[in-house]
Amino acid sequence: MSTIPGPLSLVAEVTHRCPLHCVYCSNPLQMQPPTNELSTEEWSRVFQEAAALGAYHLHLTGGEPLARNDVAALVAAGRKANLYVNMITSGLGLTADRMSALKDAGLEHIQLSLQDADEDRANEFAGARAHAHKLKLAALIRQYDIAFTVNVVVHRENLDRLEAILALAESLQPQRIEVAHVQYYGWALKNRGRLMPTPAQVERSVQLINEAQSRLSGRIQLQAVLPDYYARYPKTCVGGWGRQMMLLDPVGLALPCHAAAIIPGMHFDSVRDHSLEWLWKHSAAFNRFRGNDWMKDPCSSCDRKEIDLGGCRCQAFQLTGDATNTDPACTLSDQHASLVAITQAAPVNEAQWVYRILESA
Amino acid sequence: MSDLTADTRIPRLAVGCRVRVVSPDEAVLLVPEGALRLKGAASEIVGLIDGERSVSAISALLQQKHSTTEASQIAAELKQFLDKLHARSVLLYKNHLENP
Repeated sequence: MSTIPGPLSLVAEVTHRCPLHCVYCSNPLQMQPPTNELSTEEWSRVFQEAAALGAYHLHLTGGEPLARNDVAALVAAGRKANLYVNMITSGLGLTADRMSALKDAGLEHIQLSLQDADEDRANEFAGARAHAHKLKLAALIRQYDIAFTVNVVVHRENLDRLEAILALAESLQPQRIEVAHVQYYGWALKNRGRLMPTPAQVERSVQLINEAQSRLSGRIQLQAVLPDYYARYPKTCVGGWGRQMMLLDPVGLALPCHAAAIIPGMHFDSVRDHSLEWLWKHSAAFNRFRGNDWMKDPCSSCDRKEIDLGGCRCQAFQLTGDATNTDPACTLSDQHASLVAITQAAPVNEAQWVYRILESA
Repeated sequence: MSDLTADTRIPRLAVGCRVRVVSPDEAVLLVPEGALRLKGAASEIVGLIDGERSVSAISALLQQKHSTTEASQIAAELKQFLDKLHARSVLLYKNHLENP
């Protein structure tokens, strides 16, 4: 256990406050109240410890990181620790003054989310009138020497406009575009009946993305995350449990991935009680599915076990009721058929959206 | 065999990409969503990319420094590495129109 390599990246959910209420938000259903968030000083200490453990990247996310008044100070603390600092934002709360302060603090990469090319639908998915403001921000961001990525989450209700979405993203002139199919955890799982794309939509999206990648090559890097429900083998989730990534929630609980809290019996320790090194190497949460001792067949005897690392534990739990089962996205899972049935299910368009709401505890 | 003596393109690292020195003989190139470990020649080449030197100038400097190595081998390694960075949009050529 003494030779566990450190994390490559630290994902800091600096707040769960957010002006958006996206129907596929990756935050947990039970969010952290603002009153108990880590302070600037606590985050600064954590960033130093992450860098000392070997991390390269700091991803400031939320919620909306700009909901904190000290976000520029957090960027500066990350740079002081010699981390590469990225901020993932809805853009709400980003003004010219704040953008300038973020640049001065050393921000290196900014990721701006778009929900659709159609304004009304975009605002509907976000549960907020945000789209027009986001489009205005691109020009502001481009004034600075900061890497700029446009993120788009795609699903059944916007995939038929994928060409228009890609064209809109391109018109904002970012260095990168990320197109991610919804991952069905948390809020997205609640809305799966409306979000799950049809197999024909997925097939067409792969084709459109391939075409756009060749068209944009050398100008804009287009990265796509395909839905693993349609894959032959599961994704190597977060690069493997406790292998590459550590996530800290707003109150400092250390999680191996965004969704880990849904697995029953998980206990998460806090940076308020422990060093980051202890959390990474010794906490129960990070050791729960680290390595491959926890695997059962077909994973344990599979020659891909070091490639897929068993897939996603949270998905295995959500769809099979047992987090130690093979991820049903894998064709070798004995429950793969039930997952295929979900992807073939008839659309349930009449369902009401369940919006992400941060309720005070 | 790669002949880079006439390659006047000037490479520079893309916005949001920087080198972090880990130890005297180890560096990583940090990019928006990843890190490329730079060992040996790779580290040396990245150190010569300053947004002013052309590919041919970088090639000449490398050949001066490694005079016992075959020139064609150095050129081939340089070309392969620059192409790899370019394909990842980590490296751009500032005096070269990519998509006319």
